[in-house]
Amino acid sequence: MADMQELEVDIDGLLADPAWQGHPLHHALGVLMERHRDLLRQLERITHIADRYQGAEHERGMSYCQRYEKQLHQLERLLRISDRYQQIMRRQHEELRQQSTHDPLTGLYNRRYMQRRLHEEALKLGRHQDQLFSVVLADIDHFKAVNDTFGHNTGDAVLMEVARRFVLNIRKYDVCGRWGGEEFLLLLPSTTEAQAYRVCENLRRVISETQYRGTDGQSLAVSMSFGYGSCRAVEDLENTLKKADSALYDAKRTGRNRVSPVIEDEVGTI
Amino acid sequence: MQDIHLPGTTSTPSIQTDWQSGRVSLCGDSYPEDAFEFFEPLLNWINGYVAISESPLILELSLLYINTSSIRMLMDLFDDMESAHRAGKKVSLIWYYDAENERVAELAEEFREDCTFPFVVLKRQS
Repeated sequence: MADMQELEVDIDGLLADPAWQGHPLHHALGVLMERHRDLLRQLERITHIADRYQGAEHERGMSYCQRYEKQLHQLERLLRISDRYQQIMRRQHEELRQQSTHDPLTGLYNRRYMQRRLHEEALKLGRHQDQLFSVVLADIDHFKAVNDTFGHNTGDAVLMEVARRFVLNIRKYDVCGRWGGEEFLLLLPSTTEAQAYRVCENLRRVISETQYRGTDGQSLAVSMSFGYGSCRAVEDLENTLKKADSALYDAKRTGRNRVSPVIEDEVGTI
Repeated sequence: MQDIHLPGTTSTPSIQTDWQSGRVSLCGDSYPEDAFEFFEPLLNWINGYVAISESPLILELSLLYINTSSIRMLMDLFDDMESAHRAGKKVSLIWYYDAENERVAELAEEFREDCTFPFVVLKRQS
């Protein structure tokens, strides 16, 4: 660039020098110089316009980029907040489900759940008619006296402990629920009458051998009466529940702390 | 500008605005079928208020469950409030939650992240 400027200065000097006026090349050089200057001006204008275009495009790109970044950020936050709401809803749903199927005191299944489960087991019975299904109703003996003597808090403590013992001593495919105040229902799938008797007798022994603690630290003992029944067909299930209920009543009537009906040939083996 | 007095439903919050005091309150769950349509009058009211009124704006929220498009609308609303705040307007927000719904407080905190205007998350005294 510096060379070009020097050359222009030299040429302007030569053109202005009176010694070269009238020389045949003087006019041609003068015209050439003018054309050269025109082209240079045009080139500068084009460069300037191109620069401005580039600048505008760059700015446009930057604003797109900023808007994109902003929207991306907003979207990320939206997803995060929405996910957390869903987590809250899911936990809430779990809590409600637990409340709708479980007894709050003992943590066992509640009556509503057991009724539904009974219905489901009945449907299964229809599919496996070769298998026996047993139900057990168990009731704490003289529970009213426990409440009256030691207070309701102790009564609740006894219910909780009984529930715990039941859960610890049933098989993993058996289902245990709180059926009423001090009454428990057991569903024993694929279980014969003899096996149901053994389950009941074992629970009866465990419950009567347990030392219960009242809320004031006093120790007390309780016993339970058991009634059970078994069936093979769906239509008998309701009847079997009634059978277990009357068997329980029978166990109460004949002295409590017992399983009814007794299976005579099983008694010796326990 | 006309105040909004919208009673709540099982799927939409109640909306109350008061031009005199500059108070706006939303209360309830927000699951509108069309969140844009539902929130648009409120956004217009708030933008109108900060543009015209010289008095401060106080937004009080007692919202529990909010669907995703309502979250989006609230974010837009808070963006508008943020712009007003940066332009020197007095805007503030109080988000109330009940003691049994502590998790809502965490969500309110998430909303607060990009806001530099006064944004308080308060446990409602029962």
